[in-house]
Amino acid sequence: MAAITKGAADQGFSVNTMAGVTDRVRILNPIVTKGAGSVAITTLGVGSTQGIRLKASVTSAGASSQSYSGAVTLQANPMLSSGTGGIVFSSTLDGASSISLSTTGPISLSGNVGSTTPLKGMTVSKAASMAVQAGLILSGTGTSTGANGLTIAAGVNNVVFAPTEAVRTISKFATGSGIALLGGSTASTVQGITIIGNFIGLSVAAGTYTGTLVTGCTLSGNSRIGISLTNARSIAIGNTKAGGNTIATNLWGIYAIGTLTGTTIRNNRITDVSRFGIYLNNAAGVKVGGALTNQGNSITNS
Amino acid sequence: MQGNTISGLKGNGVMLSAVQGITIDGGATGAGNTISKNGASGVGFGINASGLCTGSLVDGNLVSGNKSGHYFTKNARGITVIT
Repeated sequence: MAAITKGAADQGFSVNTMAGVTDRVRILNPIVTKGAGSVAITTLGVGSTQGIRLKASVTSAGASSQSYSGAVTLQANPMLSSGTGGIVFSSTLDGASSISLSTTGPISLSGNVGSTTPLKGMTVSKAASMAVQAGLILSGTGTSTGANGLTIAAGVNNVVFAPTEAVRTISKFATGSGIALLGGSTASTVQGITIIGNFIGLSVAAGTYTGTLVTGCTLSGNSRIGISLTNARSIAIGNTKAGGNTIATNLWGIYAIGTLTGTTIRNNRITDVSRFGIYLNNAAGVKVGGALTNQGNSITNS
Repeated sequence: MQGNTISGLKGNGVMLSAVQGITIDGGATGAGNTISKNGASGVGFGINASGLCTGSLVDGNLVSGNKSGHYFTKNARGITVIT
């Protein structure tokens, strides 16, 4: 497919095959729409050689949206940028590559991501919200030094992993973080994810995280730290109502440093740490446990 | 810091490094922490504090059976420990 860069001021792009499972839409060159032109691709094609094969970046602006209605397989490391209409994947997303998403609207992942072929990373640099409604598997095998699994940029709020039995695993980012929150992300729920075999399981960088909760995750076998908090304010690592996290067999369970006003660490089970269960280093304002039932943490070695 | 069970760790139960204004206590409700049997690797205190810990308070916890002792605050300043 040739690049689309010329034409009317408002130029969208739509493909609808809907003929059968052997259909294939290949995006080999960048797509850049004009004005508020949207991109919509629909196909019944499935599998790694059919469906939507995404190799190049797609850019749309204004009030545009991008929708991918059919199985998507990454063939490179594309960047998808859209306007306020957001980015929607309504089927599966696979491929041993990474993807970057940027939109002034919402992001919706309603199909399994990486369940057939794990992705090597996902970066969300801008979004009004992000809904992960099914499975998510990211694997860092073969990635570059310092690569993270899921990277959420500062100011990306309302990132919600829906409660589901779907498999979510982020693993083997051996020199990076399984999940990296780069700045303030408010009103988010990170839940039901197994984060294993990374350098740091979850790293939370400086910023305000009011209304953000990490619950029901298992962080294990991370070579340095299960959860790292650096000047992270008002984030809840587990709570009484939703439950805590299982943090096991890391060198340090939770490491907290700096100003952590409003941050709470409650109802977590931290086991089999090699060094510290919870290490507070020059930390202020964090509450660890509490007086009420199920607010305390269990920090033990078996 | 209240209501936590910290037990059986290889090193220190609680490590505080230049932590200011933290309370490790039971408060009015008596919900102290249980900090026991840490230091399995050979060296480990129940609570080990170092550096400037102004305004920090340790009180009302159940601290027992830790390998190297229950409290080590020799290298800390400004912390109050009530046993």
